[in-house]
Amino acid sequence: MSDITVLVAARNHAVSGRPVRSRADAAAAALALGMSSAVRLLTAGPLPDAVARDYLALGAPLLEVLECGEDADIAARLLPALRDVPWVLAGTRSESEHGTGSTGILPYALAAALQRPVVADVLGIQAEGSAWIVTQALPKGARRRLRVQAPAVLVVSAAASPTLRHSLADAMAGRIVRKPLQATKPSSVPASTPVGQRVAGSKRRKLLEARTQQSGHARMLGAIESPSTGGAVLQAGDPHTKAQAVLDYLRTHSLVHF
Amino acid sequence: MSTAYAPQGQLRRVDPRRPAIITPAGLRRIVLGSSEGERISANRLDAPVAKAARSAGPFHRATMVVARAERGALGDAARQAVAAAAILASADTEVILAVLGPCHDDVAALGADRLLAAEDFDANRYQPAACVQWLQGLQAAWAPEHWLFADTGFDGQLGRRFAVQAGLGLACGVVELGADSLRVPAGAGQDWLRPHAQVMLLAKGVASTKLPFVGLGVREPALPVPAISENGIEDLGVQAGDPKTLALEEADFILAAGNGVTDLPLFHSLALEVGAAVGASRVAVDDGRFARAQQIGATGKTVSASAYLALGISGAVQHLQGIKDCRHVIAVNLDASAPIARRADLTVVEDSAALMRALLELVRQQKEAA
Repeated sequence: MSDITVLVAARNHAVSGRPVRSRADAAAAALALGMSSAVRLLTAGPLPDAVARDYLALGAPLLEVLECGEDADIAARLLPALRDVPWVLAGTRSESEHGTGSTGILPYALAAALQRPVVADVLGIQAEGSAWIVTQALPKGARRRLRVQAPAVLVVSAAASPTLRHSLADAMAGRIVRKPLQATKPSSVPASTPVGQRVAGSKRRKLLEARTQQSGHARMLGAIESPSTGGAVLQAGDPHTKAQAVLDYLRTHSLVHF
Repeated sequence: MSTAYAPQGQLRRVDPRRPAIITPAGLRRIVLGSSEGERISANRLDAPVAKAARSAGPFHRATMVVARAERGALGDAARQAVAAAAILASADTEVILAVLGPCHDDVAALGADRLLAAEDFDANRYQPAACVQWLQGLQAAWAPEHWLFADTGFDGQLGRRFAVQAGLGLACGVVELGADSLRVPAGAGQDWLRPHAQVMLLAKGVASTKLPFVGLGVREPALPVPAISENGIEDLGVQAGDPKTLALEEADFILAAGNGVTDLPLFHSLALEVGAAVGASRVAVDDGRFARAQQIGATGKTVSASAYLALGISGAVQHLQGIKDCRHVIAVNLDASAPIARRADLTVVEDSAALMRALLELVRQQKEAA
């Protein structure tokens, strides 16, 4: 039993619509394989063999596929397989990849069910004794380092770019284990998936706007006037006073720190 | 009688300052032949009118919008979330804005009726569990019917954590919000159309921030963010990004050069001194003065810096596209009528080299004094 499990899934290619390897999940697997060579890849739901081999080509020895129904609760299906695993890694889902309208919620739901902390936006991992030093991506290029004790769930950032190796030998040698759904237990109550109807994505999305009652005159003015008219203009003075004005502006909006 | 009738065969003269009354609907109405009303010139009607409050209360229900303020200001996505809440709210629903960190924005104009700001929030500390607990405290105090978050970065993650912890229904990445329905991408070229969820994370561009009304804008100190330890996680500190190695899209402060900048060593030493990333317009890049990766604009990069200092850039439309997400734009140009002056918050009419020299001297002085 390995210490690290990486959750992977197929995503539909944006153009062809075929299932392909998700780049975010591959990055998570590559980060995990940098820590240990015994990494288990795990997925619930359909995963074609070609995609599974693509994941195994990263160097993992084992990929487990938990088969489940179309509308089954994936978190509930994954949960028993993750109870004894100290480290669970997942990739960040982008908006178009997930079909349930709860994009990227799976790691949080799993962590809540397992009562473990979640660390999001993981860029890199280093081992330090039994703990891991995790580098987290923050906006504006800042990085945060965290010492994380097992067990934990890590969500790998979309910006993480480890080198993805592709080894044909590993892809062929890796094992794909498919575990069928036990028919004895009817899958627990389908997660409170809200009802709804499907509409074509090409249908125009309507902007939410406040209803206004404007006079015709105001509407005509709105049609001709430009929305932005610019800010202050500084014409007079020598370069020093102007430089001082620029610096004052930066200081009042706390844009510089010295 | 102010309307004068000329003799037959001549042009009819109309007094442009005929007395008019303002109807309850806000429309200006001229009753011909009447001397009742006010003589308003057309210009006075163009002046911005003070907007009425959306609802004066009393409120029985609440919608909560949660955001983190950066440098005392809310981001675009958070402003859209507040506007969406205000547009959807009924007359007895209060729009409460809960902000992590101090907030100096005019929240009434954003549409919020009440601002709860946790002023002591330290953005550099790692405390997601404390933030979730803070939100649960707000839930106990206000019992809002809906929670709105912007689905970006910190706010989006906080919304997910909170919804999972509190066991509330969640809709992520909402791309369209209606009076009683929302739309989320379902993959494979289709979208889900669903009823409102308790927690909604809004994608960018869902709502228009142009509001015909204002909120009440009551400011109230919020409960402090509780000090609880993160289970099994130790914070080793934040390292600020190095502007020289940073991708331009991520940079917080950008110094950009255009055709008006010829003294490159001076420009680079100023960028180093103020700690800014270096960008350039297409002309300067084509000229070979800067690398292609530093080009900002339609054919280059689109940046979202907090501060953008444009030196010697006239501001072609393609360049302005690249800086549309920048919060503060300062332009230095010899031509006060250049297009960038319409975009910039501060335009300085000066030779860029002279201003760079003065600014560099000033920054060095202040750094020595500090």
